[in-house]
Amino acid sequence: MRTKEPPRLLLMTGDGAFRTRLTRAVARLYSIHSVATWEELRDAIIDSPPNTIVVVDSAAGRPSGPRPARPFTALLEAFPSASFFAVVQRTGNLLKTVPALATYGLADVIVIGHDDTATALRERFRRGHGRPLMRMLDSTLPATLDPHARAIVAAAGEVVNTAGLSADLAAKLRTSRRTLLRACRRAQLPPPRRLLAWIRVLQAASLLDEHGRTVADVARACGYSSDAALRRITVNFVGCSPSVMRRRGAAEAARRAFIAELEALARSSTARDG
Amino acid sequence: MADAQRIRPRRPWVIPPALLHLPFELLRGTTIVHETPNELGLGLWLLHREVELWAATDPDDRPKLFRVGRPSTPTRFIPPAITSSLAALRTMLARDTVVDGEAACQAIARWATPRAPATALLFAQAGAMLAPRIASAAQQVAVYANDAGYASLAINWANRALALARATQNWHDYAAALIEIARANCAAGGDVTLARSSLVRVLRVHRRNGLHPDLRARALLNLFRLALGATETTASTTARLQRAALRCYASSDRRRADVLIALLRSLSEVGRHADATELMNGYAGVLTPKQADEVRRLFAAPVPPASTPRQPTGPS
Repeated sequence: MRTKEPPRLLLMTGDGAFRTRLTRAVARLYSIHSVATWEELRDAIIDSPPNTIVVVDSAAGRPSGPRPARPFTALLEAFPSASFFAVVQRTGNLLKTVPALATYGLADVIVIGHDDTATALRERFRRGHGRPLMRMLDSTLPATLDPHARAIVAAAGEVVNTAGLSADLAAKLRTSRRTLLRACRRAQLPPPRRLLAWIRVLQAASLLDEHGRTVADVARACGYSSDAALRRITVNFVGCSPSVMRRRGAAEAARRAFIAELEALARSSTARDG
Repeated sequence: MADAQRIRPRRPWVIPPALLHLPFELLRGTTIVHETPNELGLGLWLLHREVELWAATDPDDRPKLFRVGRPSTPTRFIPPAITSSLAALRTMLARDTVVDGEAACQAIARWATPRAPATALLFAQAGAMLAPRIASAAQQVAVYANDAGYASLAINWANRALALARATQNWHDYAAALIEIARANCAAGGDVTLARSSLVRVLRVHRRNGLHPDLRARALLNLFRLALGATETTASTTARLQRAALRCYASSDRRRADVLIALLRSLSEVGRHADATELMNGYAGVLTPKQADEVRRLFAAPVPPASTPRQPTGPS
């Protein structure tokens, strides 16, 4: 099982003052790694767990204009599971920069001079951390899913992001573990432990689709003890090994298996009630 | 804050967690810039970010949240309707003073409603985050979510409003939240049975607590629309519902005419012109000449044939 180490924060910025401010603000909460080049950043992301925060100066490597640098957009497209934060300056260009950045699935934007105090940075990272996972869950869940169930899954996503267990999920929803179990059954969801395991499988599957990561990388990044442990769980939950999943489109295969389980639960619930 | 003070602490009410993210939005709040692509939109986006951050931060840390003397929202393009609300929010963020930020957010949401529905929803959410224990704030988010077409979000916020209203015994907001649940369930793929049972609950809560007649009228109008869309409804049921809706107000009350027009519009939408004419003749004295003209125009507009009744468009 994964251990509760501080999440990693990869930082790439040429602004020394901002780097110092950020380091002072969040050094106790995150393990900060400064990187200098895009290649270094790419390698660091591949080696990092999915709850890593990546902070990039959106002006880095770009002469001028509102659009982010090409290597930055390439990283955003290649690693949709990482939580990217773009650092932008409060200039006249911001009106064009914001819609341009909005198309790339960033976790959030930090506007220099607006929200770069220590408290604001900590709060932004806390709120934006794991947003890609939430987005992935949003797109995975069927539109017809009960809003109660959706709220439980959203809370479960946040718990997975902090390597939490079912007791943490119950605490997050301010209820007891027994009540949470009943709430999951009523919302036609798997029991809490299995729901958390499912979210980790979905997260691992989305990492398997990212180019450049080996199965062992994904297993290590997602907190499984070995690639064999990841294989066992994917065979159990999805019905095939990670390498087979990757050939078929891992995220889609996991999504289909999860939806099938939700449908089976809905059918059994209807049969029980009716 | 009266609602928050009235919450009985010993009761184990569980308030459902709020869903904040709009399904299509890749970067939180940027729809504001898409809907208002000028300096005002940028200013509103920055302000919305700051208000949400302020609301999510521990009250002890709020004074340290923003820099003193940071650039403020641009003053160009600001419509007079929201000048005071923006100023109130800026004061709240800058000095951490007691300002009704929720009311200011609601005012911006009201201003944005016709032209920028997602902006309205985002500011209503920010307002509800500033006042997390106020049922009416959560219920307003449900209203804007329904207006913008996010049924799932609307149900989530309406359920939150239900829990908050029940805890404070605020039966007006409780009934209003039930109406929003019904509206959301009338959307495509929604549960019409649940919509109907929610509306029946509104009538029950109204009867027990003597609420405003508007709530009863809205519930009955929506039940009438659902009845028109259902195949098994008898003529006597629709007649009973339309009579009950009209009786919500006294014959001298001008709102009775609004109910009559809503009933006529619903009948016209499903092509039941004969019933509409009969209803109009029965209550001819209720309408002013101007309203009578409006109704005549309604009937002059092309409508689908009676043999293929349309599904109701959902309660209003």
